[in-house]
Amino acid sequence: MKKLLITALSVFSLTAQAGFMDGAHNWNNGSSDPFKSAIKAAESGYKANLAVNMAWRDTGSMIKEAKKLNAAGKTAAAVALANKAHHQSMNATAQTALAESAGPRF
Amino acid sequence: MKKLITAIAGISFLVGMASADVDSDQKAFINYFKTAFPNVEFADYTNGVYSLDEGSRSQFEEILDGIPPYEEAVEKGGKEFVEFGLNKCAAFKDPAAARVKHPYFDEATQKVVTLEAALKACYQEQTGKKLGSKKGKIARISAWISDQAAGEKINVKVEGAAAQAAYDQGKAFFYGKRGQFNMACADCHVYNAGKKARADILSPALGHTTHVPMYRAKWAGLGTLQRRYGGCLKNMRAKPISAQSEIMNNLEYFQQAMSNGLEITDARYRK
Repeated sequence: MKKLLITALSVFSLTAQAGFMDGAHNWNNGSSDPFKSAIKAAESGYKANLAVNMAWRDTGSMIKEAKKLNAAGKTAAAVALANKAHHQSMNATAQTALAESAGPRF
Repeated sequence: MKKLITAIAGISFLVGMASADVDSDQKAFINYFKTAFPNVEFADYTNGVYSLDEGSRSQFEEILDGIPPYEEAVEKGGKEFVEFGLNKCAAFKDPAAARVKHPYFDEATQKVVTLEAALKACYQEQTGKKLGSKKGKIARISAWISDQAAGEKINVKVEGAAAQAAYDQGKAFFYGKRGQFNMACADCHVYNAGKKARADILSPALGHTTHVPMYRAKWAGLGTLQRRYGGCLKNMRAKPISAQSEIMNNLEYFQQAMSNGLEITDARYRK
């Protein structure tokens, strides 16, 4: 009986919590718009890369293109491209740490 | 006490390692090329890639035997030097000396001053207008100035802590990997110099600065060293950095210092 009561209470409390969230909740970040959060991450990473002269050649144009796609209503493609740009900026950030103290191999 | 001395000695060693002096850096740099290309004389590196490849060299010599495609542009640069009153600037009273002096570290501004940076400042002083940084007028005038110093040797000095810091930043840039291809300047122009990248032979970094500004067949015109930096960065899929920015000037400072002792040449044709 005790076990049944605990199980029932658990199910009730989880159901109640889930009821407060809308169906489109994005678990990954604070934004409900997947494009907004993807482009924000890409832009802030790219900006940081530019500040230390380590940006990659095509990241900026990928961000621009992603914005165009989003404006045209192609959200899935826009998010994919923004994520790609963000990935580039993360790789550039990883390079930055190594490049600062780079020296010859001989 | 013993521990303290050991710690200080250790720190001093590490600091010394972090900013090795120019002479020892250059010695190691030259030795690398000496080992890789035992038959190439140090002085011949002034000819860049033509010091490594016989076939390319004969084409180069044929071009020089005729009328080099940049001759007219360089002559025009000489006329422009006078026309715009650049000979009135203190920095360019003696054009040959100006070429040898630059790049140098200016203690007052705490920055590296390249020949092109000094030209831009002088041009603005004399005409009230701005001069570009990569091609056209600046490349023509800079090439003419460099011609006046042909035969003299590159002699970049790195003196003082701030100059050393600028040099070190240029050095880190040269060896640091960047761009989508994750490549450093050194990957092509040191470790793979003499090898082919598609149809082109990669030039050795030693001697890169002896013939700048250069005429490139690809450009069908003259361009400054920093124009070439921009092209290289783009090829590595890194975002090009503005010519004459602090970091590009520091890179040039390091690169020129690595060619100390090599003759400045007026044979500025490159593929």
